[in-house]
Amino acid sequence: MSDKQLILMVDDDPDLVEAVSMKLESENFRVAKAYDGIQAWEQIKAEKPTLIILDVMMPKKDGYEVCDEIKKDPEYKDITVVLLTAVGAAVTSTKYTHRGGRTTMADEYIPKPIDLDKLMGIVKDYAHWS
Amino acid sequence: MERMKIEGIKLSNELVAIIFDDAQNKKDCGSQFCRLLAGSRVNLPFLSVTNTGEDPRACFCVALEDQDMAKGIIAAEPGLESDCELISSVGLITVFHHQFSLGMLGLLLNILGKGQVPIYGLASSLSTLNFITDYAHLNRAVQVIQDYFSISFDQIYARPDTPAVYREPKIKTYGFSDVLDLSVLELEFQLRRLPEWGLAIYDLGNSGIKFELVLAQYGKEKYLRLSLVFKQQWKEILNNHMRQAIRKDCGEMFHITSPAELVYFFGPHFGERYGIANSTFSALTGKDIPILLTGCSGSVVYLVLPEGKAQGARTLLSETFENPSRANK
Repeated sequence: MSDKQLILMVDDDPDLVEAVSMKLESENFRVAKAYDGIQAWEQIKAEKPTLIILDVMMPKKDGYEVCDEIKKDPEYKDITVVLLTAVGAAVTSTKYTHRGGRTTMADEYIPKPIDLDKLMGIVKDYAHWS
Repeated sequence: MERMKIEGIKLSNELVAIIFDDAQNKKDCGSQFCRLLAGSRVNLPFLSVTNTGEDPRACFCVALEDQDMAKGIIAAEPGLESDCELISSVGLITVFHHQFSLGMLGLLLNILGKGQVPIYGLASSLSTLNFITDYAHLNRAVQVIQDYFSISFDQIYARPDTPAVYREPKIKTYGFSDVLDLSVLELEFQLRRLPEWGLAIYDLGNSGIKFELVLAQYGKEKYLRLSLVFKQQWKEILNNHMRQAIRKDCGEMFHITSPAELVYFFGPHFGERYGIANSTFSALTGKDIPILLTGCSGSVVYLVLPEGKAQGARTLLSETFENPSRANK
């Protein structure tokens, strides 16, 4: 089994998933990918990642729901969850704003568009602690 | 033989394709039309433009509900109507992750051609291949792809939810990237030869060649113009391969432009928000940055430029688009 830590990247934007995955792999992480909330759970159960980068606006099951379920599950509650919340300043007509993100049990919240270098810093910090 | 795996397929709502072909040498018809659409808050979920030769070609898609607005813009603007073809009731089929694989691209072209699924436009993004076809053919395209690739039913996403629509004073991005030392292959062939050319491109994949960007536009007399951007080191192999595959008796032709550079950037909901392409063109118009190819699909904007222009383009684009890495310094 690899010693590299596994990060699960979940977003319905395949381009963002790819960009983040390439960055994570260049930083010596293993990466699993999912494009909706249901797939995310399948990956969590199959792979038990160290950390999940989780978009909130997704089809089938949104990121808030996935985050809540992870944090309420004794088997998975210790997985670090980093929520990618919507563009806070510009979007006013949805519940998916950065402000809304603070009501969940996520470990970290990052508003989109994410600074990929900043995201890597956060991931490395949490991965180091775990 | 093990099937190639793909991670998902997305299907769009019903769209309208607008193709400008030759446009009487109006090399700015792409940017002109983008400006007019942005002024009317019309989103472009897809854009594919070539400007390398003497006959520029552009393929745009707008939502079905924006069709009348687009028609009105074309009718009101002198010179746009004469070289414009509107194809009603089209859809976008998005396949990911392409892994920059010519093998995957070639196989998709081959099977879609054999499956009688027409292609009116094509653009790649960082992860996706986006094909424009008849809306009525979307399900058949999915079936054909499922027959040849490994993908399960729950990886198919049909008809998106209400898109995010907003405008920012300075458009936020995830950052800019460029790729240097490139060549651009442009190939023209009749759409009925799609299966054969798909196979030829598939064979190229066995040489280990990856693409950086692929675009295509449908045009006059049912010809498809396909543009492949790749690292310059592969130029000789591609040139030889094309010479062997080309059928001049079918009116096919190709040429390779070299060297070239690629700039790309992407941001949240770029495919859903109006004005992104227009902001891109506006930033570079009149600044001695000729744009050879433009592709906007998925979340990504791609610009292929002559050698030596990428850095200048990035600097100019940074005045209109926000780079988060720079913003945080």
